[in-house]
Amino acid sequence: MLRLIRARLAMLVIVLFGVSIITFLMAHVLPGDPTTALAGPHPSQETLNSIRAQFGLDKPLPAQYLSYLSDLFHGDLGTSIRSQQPVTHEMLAFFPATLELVLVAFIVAIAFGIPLGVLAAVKKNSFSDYIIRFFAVGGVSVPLFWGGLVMILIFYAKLGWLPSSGRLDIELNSPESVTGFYTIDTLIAGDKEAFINVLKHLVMPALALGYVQLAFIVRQVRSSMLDALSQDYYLTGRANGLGKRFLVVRYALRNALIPSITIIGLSFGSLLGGAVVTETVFDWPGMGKYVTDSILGRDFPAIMGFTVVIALAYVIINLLVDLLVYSLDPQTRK
Amino acid sequence: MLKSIKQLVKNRFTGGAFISLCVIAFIAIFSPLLTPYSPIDTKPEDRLLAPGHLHYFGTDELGRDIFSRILAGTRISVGIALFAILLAAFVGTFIGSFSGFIGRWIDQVIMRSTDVLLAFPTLVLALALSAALGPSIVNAALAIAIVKLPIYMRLARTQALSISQTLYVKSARTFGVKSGWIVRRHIVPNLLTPIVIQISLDIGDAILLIATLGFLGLGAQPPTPEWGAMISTGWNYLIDQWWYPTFTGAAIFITVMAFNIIGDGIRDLLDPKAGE
Repeated sequence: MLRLIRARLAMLVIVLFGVSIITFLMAHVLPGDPTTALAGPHPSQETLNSIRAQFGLDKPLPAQYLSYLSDLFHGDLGTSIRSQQPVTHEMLAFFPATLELVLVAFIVAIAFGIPLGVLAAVKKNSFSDYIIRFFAVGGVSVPLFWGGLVMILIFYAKLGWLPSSGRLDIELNSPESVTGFYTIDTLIAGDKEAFINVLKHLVMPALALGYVQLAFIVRQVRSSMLDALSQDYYLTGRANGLGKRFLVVRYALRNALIPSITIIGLSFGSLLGGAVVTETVFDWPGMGKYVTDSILGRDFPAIMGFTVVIALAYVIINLLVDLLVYSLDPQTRK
Repeated sequence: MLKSIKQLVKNRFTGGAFISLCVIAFIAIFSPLLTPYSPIDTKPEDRLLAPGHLHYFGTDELGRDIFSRILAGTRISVGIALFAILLAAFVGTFIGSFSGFIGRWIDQVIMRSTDVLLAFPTLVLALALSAALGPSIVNAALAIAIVKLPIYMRLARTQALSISQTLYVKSARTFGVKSGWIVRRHIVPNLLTPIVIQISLDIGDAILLIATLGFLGLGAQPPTPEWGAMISTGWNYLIDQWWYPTFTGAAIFITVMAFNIIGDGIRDLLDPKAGE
């Protein structure tokens, strides 16, 4: 186990170096130079030069990269062009909102995805299998923003059941920040009204975002479950008169879940990406909304800071997933 | 080929998707002849009309017929998606099989670079790339091609590695056959099947990515009738003119779904082990 962790950490360092090179290239070398965004329309050559000097853009590229890298090491993601605040601070402020949304969506996806996938596999080619598969193909095909739009039209505009934007009604004060998760913070504050209000705000964004992930999970669980159901141990068990339900839960599901965990972990990245769209649609004050606002404002340090943070989070999640699979599956230990 | 299509159509699921796909392809090819109005010319006196017999899906804020714009957008979305995926597949297969065949440190470097590209969630990388390149539909296509590249590189490499270990390649080598001939006659034909499967699975995703970039203002710029950009503008009219973004989104949904079902069908057909 220790050796695996060490090897994977070494890999992680290499990958993160690569990530820093890519974001550096995107920010400094590609045509959308940040100076032109800063200088406004028709800048004089002097303005351009002074801005370049201010950001160290007049130095040779390797020197620029080294200073970028050392900044990254110190947790400095640069200064936002729009707000003139450190990007790291802004990112930290928006992080809990995104994490809360993503986690709730993830829980929804797993809680419904795994049982539906198992059901579809066990009842292969039945009517319910077809319905579930159709539902799952829908999930990987629906544009996230359109799914959100349809939900807003129905549950907000038509029925008026759920709020369409934000984390909390404006009249209610946001809870004192302990964890940054409004669901937990309102509970700690003992404010029941605010808690219910927070939940209502969470429903639509979490379902919209979770549906895509759910579809991934259903498809994966169904196919690895089908695989498990055709294995010798399952057939032998059946031939020896063991009950179908017992075999599915005790044997098939356990084996089917291991490949599924890997896929579920990998598709967590799509949740992080999807959060950008979902937060924009539901006006959710998280990192995703922050980055789309930054795109509109051509705020390069903010966009690249977001990209680095998400890549870091994604790489760490994948590492954790690998370790989890390793500890669960004896076959990987050979 | 004909037999495969027959097999696809036999299944109700894939059959329906196949027919939809034919319709979509027809629209994409002949859209200039099919649109009842110009998708670009504005007509301010007809702005934001509700759906009716003159304008099936209503009109937008500049009085353009939304139905015509959706038809015209088909060619853009499907065309750009195909372009991006084929570019990624072509370049990725080339680099990947080269990497697998040569091996040694070149292989190491190339594979680590795919690791780095895969360290970003697809949408986030596509977003950062097209923000850096500047918002335009060509740059969005390039961004998608880059994001999809590592999948093809890895696929081609794995295949090239295992094929070059097979008995028939080894014995061909023993008989002094040149590398070029082996790559052309043995490696590429065996590579083709998994690559084709991957392409068919990726097109739907590419259409979604283009629409998402367009929605976020990074893809096509006005007045191009691109679906994502249309929904982005239509969003301002969501409550009172619901039809504007809703029908456009439905077009994306149906198109992507048809591609995804066909993609699954092609995978099951060509690679019976993977599906069921």
